Amino acid sequence: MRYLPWSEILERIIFPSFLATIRMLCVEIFLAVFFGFVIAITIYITREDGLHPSKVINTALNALISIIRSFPFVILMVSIIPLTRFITGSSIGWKSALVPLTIASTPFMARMFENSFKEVNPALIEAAKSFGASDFQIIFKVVVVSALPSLVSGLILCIIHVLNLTAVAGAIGAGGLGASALQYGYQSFNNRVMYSIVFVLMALVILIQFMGDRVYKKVR
Amino acid sequence: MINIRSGTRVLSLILGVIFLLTACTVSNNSPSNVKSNETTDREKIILSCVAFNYDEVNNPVAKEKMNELGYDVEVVVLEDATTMNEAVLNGDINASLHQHKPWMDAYNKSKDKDVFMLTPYIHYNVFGMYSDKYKTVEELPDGATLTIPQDSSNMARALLLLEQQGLIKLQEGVAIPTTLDIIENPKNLVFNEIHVHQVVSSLPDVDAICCAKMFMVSNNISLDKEICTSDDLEDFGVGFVINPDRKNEPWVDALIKAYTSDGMRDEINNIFKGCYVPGF
Repeated sequence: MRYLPWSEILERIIFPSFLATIRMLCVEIFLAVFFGFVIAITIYITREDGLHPSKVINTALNALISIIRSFPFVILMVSIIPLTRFITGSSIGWKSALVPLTIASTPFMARMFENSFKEVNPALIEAAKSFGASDFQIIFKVVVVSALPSLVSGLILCIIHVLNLTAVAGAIGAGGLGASALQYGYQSFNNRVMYSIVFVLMALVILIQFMGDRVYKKVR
Repeated sequence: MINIRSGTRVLSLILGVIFLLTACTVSNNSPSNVKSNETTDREKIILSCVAFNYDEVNNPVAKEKMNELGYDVEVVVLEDATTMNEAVLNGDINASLHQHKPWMDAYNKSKDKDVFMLTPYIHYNVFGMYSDKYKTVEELPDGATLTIPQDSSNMARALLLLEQQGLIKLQEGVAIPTTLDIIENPKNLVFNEIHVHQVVSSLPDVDAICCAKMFMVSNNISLDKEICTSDDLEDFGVGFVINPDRKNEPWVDALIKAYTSDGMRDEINNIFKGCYVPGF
């Protein structure tokens, strides 16, 4: 590879891939939080001692989470290509990468959330029940509220996990910082590109963690 | 109380199982190690390739010849050429067969290393352009979408093929060009850079793909989707790469003799069905 001046590295590699990463991360986190939350709540209320116990649903969801989480991400991405093509009309590009990214991170997110819910003191729920609170009220006003700090720290963990996954999604042309570090850095023997991108990623992770900690302190 | 007790029981059970498993692996390992030490009086040669070329490097024809010459061949599958070169320089492996000459030269230059490629080359890798929708380069419309591999070695060949077909113009004097080196793109082609293994699976999603013919053959895709192949085969010879300090060691001659025999020529033609051309 020819010598790349800093201006070109910034303008043609780092800046576009930074945007791609942020874009992918935002949409992805939104989707994963939504689906993860729904699944976590479902598992929580169908537990043996939950609000509406149902062994079938609970076992099925738990198994599904474990099955998806056992897939190495690259293999998951490749094996769901038909599904991806069905949803987005193509197997490549950042929109298509959202499908495997969401499928891979939703179970992670769900498990995280479910663990937080599990920590909520059952006495609180009993108390709410005795006041005649509805299921909806119990979940959103009692369980979610008291689990909030732990939900936030779990979410931060997930965001950084997904940031790492986006690097792998570069394999199907999703772009992004991780993919550029591999492509223009590692593969092209350009240490300047590689480490400057790693530096940007470090800054991003530190920033996410910092903001997460701030929010955590606020809600605690 | 009951909970604690059953907890301890489960824990001790798990520990017991782990202990048993460890014991088994240890007892399984040691005799086989001893055995392999006993039977080999031949020098062991460790070769490396990607999963893809395993049948070629691990070929019985070549391995038998190596045995006759007094060497035992072991093949290690690695991910990429950078890892292989590090292993070659460290002495972890004797030789690797994966990268082509221009890629190795670029590696040596930018990493300030001096890995060495043995000649004659073992094979040339045919590289082409394929499409579901079009039969010739001229048919490609303005703004056509193309998938090209994202690793530097394959991307370079894809771009050089496109230049050879008059579709783009690249900055002059760049040995391993990337998309950053495209200076003219009159048809406004849109490039998707994806992992080399995924290029073929994107065939239905784009106007054309550029990849090694190997991927078409290994994915059983009909070769009538071929638009063109590159005419620069000889520039991209693939040979065994070794540590330059070991150039004069006797196993090097044996390696070349074993892998460039007439028998191996037939094997390469058989295994790769025209997507690799023997280089000797």
